[in-house]
Amino acid sequence: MSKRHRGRIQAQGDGLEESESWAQDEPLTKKEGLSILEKLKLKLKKSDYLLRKDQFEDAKRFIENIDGGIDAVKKKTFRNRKTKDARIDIEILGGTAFITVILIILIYYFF
Amino acid sequence: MGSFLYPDFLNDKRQYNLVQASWNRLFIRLGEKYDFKYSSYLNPYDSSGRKEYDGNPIFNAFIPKIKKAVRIIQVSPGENVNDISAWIDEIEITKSSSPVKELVIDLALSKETKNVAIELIDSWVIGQINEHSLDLYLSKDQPETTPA
Repeated sequence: MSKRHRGRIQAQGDGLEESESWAQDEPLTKKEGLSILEKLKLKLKKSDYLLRKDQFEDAKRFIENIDGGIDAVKKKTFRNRKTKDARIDIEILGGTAFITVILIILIYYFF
Repeated sequence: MGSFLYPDFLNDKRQYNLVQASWNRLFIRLGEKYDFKYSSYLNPYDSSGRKEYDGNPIFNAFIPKIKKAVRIIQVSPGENVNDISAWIDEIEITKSSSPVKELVIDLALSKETKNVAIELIDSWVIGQINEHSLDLYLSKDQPETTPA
């Protein structure tokens, strides 16, 4: 059976298609989200990363600024505007993502 | 030289709602022209349940009849009134269905980019563009695209 909370972060465009995904029973935390973003960064060749360096920062800021998690279906794109389509995409395809650990504890105890 | 439309839309919610309504009207007209219905497939709210006003995306539509989606990202105007790009992506709209092709248009809104976007969306809906022809289409309209 597929997991309730699912999504992926992708580095795409300019001939690249790399992604890191998640699928789990609990909502993804911000910390996990940032870790997935970091894993994706480490998968890229240096030139592919440099082309998206600012967009990785934008994606990181986006995750960090979320207050209380966001629900699917959500898709955010951060494109290097000097290119046609070199970008970072964040997709929340099921459930909730980027919540804080405290929120998970509250959900666990009260629901 | 052209000018930007709704240039302060990211700071002015009234402008934001107006430009969003204009994209919606475009789709209503297209729906009447080609006899389709559409619906939004992305959650427009933030974690507090408030509508997002970030333009990312400003509009999205899934057309079940042709199993295609359109997502429009709108950014603040910069220097270039021809600031538009587009590509084809995939999105899994529901867990049980297969991913659908999604035309993504990323622009700063001017008369020029709006016309290109309208042509692209029209061609996408009637099946006249794909991944390969989209590049040709954009290079025709965007000769000055800056390499990285």
